[in-house]
Amino acid sequence: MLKFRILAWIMILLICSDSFSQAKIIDSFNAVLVKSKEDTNKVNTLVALSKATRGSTPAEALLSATKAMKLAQQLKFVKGEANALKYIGMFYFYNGNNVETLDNWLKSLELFKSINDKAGISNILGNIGALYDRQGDDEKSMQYSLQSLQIAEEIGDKMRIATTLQNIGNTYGRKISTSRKGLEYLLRAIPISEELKDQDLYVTLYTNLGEAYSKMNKLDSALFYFQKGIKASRNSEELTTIYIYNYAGKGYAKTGKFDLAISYQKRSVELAKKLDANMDIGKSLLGLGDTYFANNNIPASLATYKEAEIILKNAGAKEELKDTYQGLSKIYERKKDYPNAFHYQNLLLAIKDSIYNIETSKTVSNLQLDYTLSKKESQISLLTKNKELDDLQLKRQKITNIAFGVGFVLIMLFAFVLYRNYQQKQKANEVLEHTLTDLKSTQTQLIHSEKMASLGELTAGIAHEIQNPLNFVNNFSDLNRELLAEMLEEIDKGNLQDAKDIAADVMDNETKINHHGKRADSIVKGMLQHSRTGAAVKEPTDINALADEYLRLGFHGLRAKDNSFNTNMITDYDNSIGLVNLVPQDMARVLLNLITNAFYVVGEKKKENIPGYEPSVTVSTKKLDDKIEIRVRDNGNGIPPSVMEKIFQPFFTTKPTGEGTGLGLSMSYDIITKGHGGTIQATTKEGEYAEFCIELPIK
Amino acid sequence: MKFLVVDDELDVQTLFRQRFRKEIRDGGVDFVFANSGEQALAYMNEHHHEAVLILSDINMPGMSGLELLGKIKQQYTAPTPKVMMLTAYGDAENYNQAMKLGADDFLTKPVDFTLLREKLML
Repeated sequence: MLKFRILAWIMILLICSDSFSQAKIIDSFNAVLVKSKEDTNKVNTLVALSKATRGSTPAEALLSATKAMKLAQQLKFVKGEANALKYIGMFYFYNGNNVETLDNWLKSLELFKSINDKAGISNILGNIGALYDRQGDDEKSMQYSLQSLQIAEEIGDKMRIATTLQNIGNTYGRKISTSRKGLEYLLRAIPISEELKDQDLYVTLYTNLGEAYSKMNKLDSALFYFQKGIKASRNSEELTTIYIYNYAGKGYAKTGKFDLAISYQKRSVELAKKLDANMDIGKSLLGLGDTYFANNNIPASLATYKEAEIILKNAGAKEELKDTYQGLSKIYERKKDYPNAFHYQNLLLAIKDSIYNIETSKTVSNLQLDYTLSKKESQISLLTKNKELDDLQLKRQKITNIAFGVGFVLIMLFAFVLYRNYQQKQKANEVLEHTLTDLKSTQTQLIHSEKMASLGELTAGIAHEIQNPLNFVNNFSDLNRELLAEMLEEIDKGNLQDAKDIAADVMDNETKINHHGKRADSIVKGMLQHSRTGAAVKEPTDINALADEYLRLGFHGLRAKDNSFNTNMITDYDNSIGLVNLVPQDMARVLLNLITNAFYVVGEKKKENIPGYEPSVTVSTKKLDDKIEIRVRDNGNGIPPSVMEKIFQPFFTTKPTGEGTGLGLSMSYDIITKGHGGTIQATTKEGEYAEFCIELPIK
Repeated sequence: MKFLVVDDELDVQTLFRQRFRKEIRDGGVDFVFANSGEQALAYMNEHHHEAVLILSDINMPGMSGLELLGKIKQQYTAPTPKVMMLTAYGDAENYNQAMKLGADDFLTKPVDFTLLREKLML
């Protein structure tokens, strides 16, 4: 939307219409300046010099305008001072400094008013309208534009009429509901601009029109006007040329003619750099990055966006920066570099938040604007209609004659455009379907890889957990053989009491063998369940045993990777819970995830070497009336408020790149809420603790 | 001869007592048990002149066997007790680290008691 509005303000350039080459003019000015005395002529020459150099050497333009202002003040030459202020404002306008711009222009307006210079007043009013338009304040923009138009009509200033029509057209064009009306205004300005033979004016108008049609998805009309604009710009080194190339590039990219689009946008970037127009370099780079991306040239797109990011950040162009972040996020997603994708997604959210605040206030005033606009609309009509009525009556006769012919051609054209649109939509649909399938399969892969990642955490723990019971099974069974042999010896000797003692030991050992055998069995089963994919079945489960098992597995898993890791483990199980109907392998995954997270954070805090810090992880269960509660608490550094609301989002991780998939908590959330109809919540105090509480309903 | 066995698995005590029942009965050896590294250190503080050989697990809650190994080799020098690691982790990293910290031997679980007996020269 904003892109549409950007073009409006270029109109201010219109005051300058060169028919000589830029260098010649500057040379001649300098020649005059050297000779001239400190009089009003010198003020005017300095102003003209500022006007001529504001595109190529902005700093010099500011210097000339400031000199002119000081001299005019000395001479009490009010009109000169007002003009100088206008060009000082112009410098800040190109620089993107809205506050300084408005300040200088309001001062200039006051001065013009004090000497009742209507052309000056109308000009500055129009400029201020454009400034508000750029800032998105539609109502104020409309007010100033209308005042400007009224005065321009009064004094018959065609240039001003055209620019104001254009501003109003762009303001209307911004809203979908009034875009058609916007087009009407722009088209109305065209004949005036052609009559004035002002290059900047009609290049901008063609850009506006192309952009308007492109926005309405009428690409043929859009390309028609873009081509007209490019031809009209004659490749001159003006800001308007930067725009026409960038927007034409966008238009061609939309129709899939990427080579042409890229060459146009490269030209746009090159020119913006040459003219040192910072914001425009960023905007043109953004456009070029979009096109590379659409053309699937990911490396070029990435490099271009990155360059744009730096420039736009420095220029403070939030809206464009937002689009850049979005582009970067998409690129990293395509490259399957999820941490970076997520990083830019976060930046995008943050900048959206800050823009959103502005947008809300805009929406409110837009509601009023709908009403005021229609009132203003009738004012404009009154102003312009009287004249138009006379013209119209004359033209009507002619129009009727050619109307039929034109009507027929238009209908054919319209039918063709409709057909093209239909075809393009079909194509877009196919692409969308394909993207959706890709997305789904990526998602499945990711879930699988998260399962495998947590399986890896488990494997080390499992090795340890299985070797230990095996140690007992092997050795006790071996022992029992020896003991039984000894027992036989004792029986042979007739030492029945000794034989009985040995038999008791053998029986004890058998119990141990059985116990450790079962222990190994349940570990292997658990591992198989953990890696199993597909439908999961709820079964009555001892949640305390499950929690305890995974507390051990999680601990040993981590310990296997990092044998300096250490923590206290505190458990507090409510034994009245009994069996709970749940999917054991899913619940195990959740518990393992919460537990390994807790271990991770206490481990990290331990590394800070805080005196007296004892890492501790607590797992507790509790039966309430109609639900059970499982809590996993750690005394790590807690969760900062800034990330609190994101912890359950997919791909969000605070671990360094490559250490976490960022899917653990998001999967846990799905398992608890969707799979079990429960809730999972985190509470935390920064620097002290984090606690995850799962609540599961029981019947 | 006195052995200090450090392991968080309680059944290890029964296992060692039965495996070495003859040696214990003959009075040649004596076994003391600790459930954690911390307990083992506490025991050493009181009886350091007694323990002849320490057999320690690596993976235990709280102080790990490797930490215990490091502390013992640093703190008790006259003479330094022998320490043998007994662990379910036979991987190179654990082995190398144990050796670096001065372990005298390294056996993996399940424990081969015939081998252990040879090593202890019982």
